[in-house]
Amino acid sequence: MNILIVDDEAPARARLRELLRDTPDCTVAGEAANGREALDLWERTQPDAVLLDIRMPVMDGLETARHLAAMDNPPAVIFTTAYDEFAVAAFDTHAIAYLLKPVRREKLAEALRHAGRLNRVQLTRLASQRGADARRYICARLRDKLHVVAIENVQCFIADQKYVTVCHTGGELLIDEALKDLEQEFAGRFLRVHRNALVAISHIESLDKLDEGHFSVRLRGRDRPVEVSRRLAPEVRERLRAGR
Amino acid sequence: MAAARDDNPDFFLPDFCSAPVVLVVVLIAELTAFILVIARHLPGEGMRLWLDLARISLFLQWIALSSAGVLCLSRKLLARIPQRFAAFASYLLLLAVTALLSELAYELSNYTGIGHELLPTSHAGFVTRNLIVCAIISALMLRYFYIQYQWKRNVQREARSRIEALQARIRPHFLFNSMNTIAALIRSQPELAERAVEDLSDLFRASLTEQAHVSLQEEIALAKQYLDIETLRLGDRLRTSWAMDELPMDARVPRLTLQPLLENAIYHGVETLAQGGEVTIAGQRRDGLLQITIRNPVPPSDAPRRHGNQMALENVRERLKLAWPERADVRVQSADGEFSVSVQLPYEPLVP
Repeated sequence: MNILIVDDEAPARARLRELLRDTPDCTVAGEAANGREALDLWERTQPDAVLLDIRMPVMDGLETARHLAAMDNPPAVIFTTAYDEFAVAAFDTHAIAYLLKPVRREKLAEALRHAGRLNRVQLTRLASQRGADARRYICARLRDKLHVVAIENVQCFIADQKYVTVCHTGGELLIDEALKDLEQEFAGRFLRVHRNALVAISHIESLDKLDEGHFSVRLRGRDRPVEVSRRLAPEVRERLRAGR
Repeated sequence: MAAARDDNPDFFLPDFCSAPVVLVVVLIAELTAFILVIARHLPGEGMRLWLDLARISLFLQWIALSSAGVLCLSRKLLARIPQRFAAFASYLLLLAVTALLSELAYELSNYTGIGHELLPTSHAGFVTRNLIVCAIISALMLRYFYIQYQWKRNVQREARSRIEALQARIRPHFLFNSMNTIAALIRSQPELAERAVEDLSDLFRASLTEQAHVSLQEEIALAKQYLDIETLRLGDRLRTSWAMDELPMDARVPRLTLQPLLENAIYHGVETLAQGGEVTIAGQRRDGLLQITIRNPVPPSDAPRRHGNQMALENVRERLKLAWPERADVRVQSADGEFSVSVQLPYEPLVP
């Protein structure tokens, strides 16, 4: 069994490494200091299971688990935490594997034996727990490579028939999510301007009036403007005025 | 405050030799005199009313001050017997003083003729009446002092339990993370693990002790032990710099003032940054006031904030305000990816 260790504290990683050395049929595929690093490492090593700390800088464990679960071949996830009332309570109710630090040898072996993949229902519930924040990254596969884009670099989300296009400062990605969920998750950061579009408020350059009472928003560093629906135009204008 | 000078604050009778209590006694006596005079005369009787008031006041103050004197002298003895008996005994003492002085006044008045017109014809009637008045007033007064004592005791107890509760709040997050670090070090670096256990014990001992104040030197030593533990865990992500030379090391500070603030700086700042950061602790002294400022980097403002930011701050603020309601202060500033908290307190050397 190939295992990826993710924890921002070096001694915590050392301890898990040590425990895994004593566990039969287990090898350490790699170590990462935060979720962002873990995603890169996962790409390269394709581990069977990930031991995931919850509190980490850059990208925390809960968010990392969400990205991992959205992969084609997701690994089993076991959370590790020293003390996190909210998360532990959430794990208990959704039957998600977790280990309390300091981790016991027997518990680790048992968790690895039973470790399973997180399913979508578990993840959605986890994400809606108190203490869980909005994602800081959007993660998608493009031409067989994993792309991780910081949310502050995302300019807009445009819904097509089946997918949502993520326009960001470095290009475009496709994700399989509902625009409605994205709107809810990133409320305050993104603004609904059309039935099929959310735009990042901080990336808006101007609201332009077209003929016949039609509007569109121009986004900084992006050639194609985003159409604003007639119904939402007053709200968008109001919002922009308030923000400036 | 009278209670601070009190040799035995666990006794319901106040110190009758202290000025504030004597003042209360004088006031009670004078009010009683007023009531007695007003009950006897109609307003508009002019001169007679004032004369009566003067004589009755003189008599009552005589009794009141003598009673205060007797209670002052017998307080130490009374404090040794059970509260209930002490109350009864002091009540009897007051009645005895009144009886004795009434007797003396009656004889004196008969002998000198002063205030003779005030005296009722019956000797026994005069003494009995005074005893009844004394019985009522003394009962009210003793009750008043008892209730005040209880109230004061409750306030003190509340303050003490609050301090204890506040001190005990080292984050569980820190405890378990430290335990995890120690578990990791035990095999690879046993000496480091040993020192971490010692430091952790000192910290918890400090959080459990009853002594509310320590010298600044001790507080700094404790804070450094805390930082040592966190350095084991975070490695070179945690960097610290101290500039406390300006401060007098014997200054009195509430125990665990710095540690919770440093814990905040790490929990909300250093720990949330991939590269970590530097926590600076700097002290300044100005006009008898000490100011300690702790600065730490924080993630950009649009990153999600960790919850429960205010608890440790409120805790420190509350304990400082309990010690120095007027002069202590805790101020917070947040700008440009930096968070800083300034603690201000008056310089008072810690008396060992």
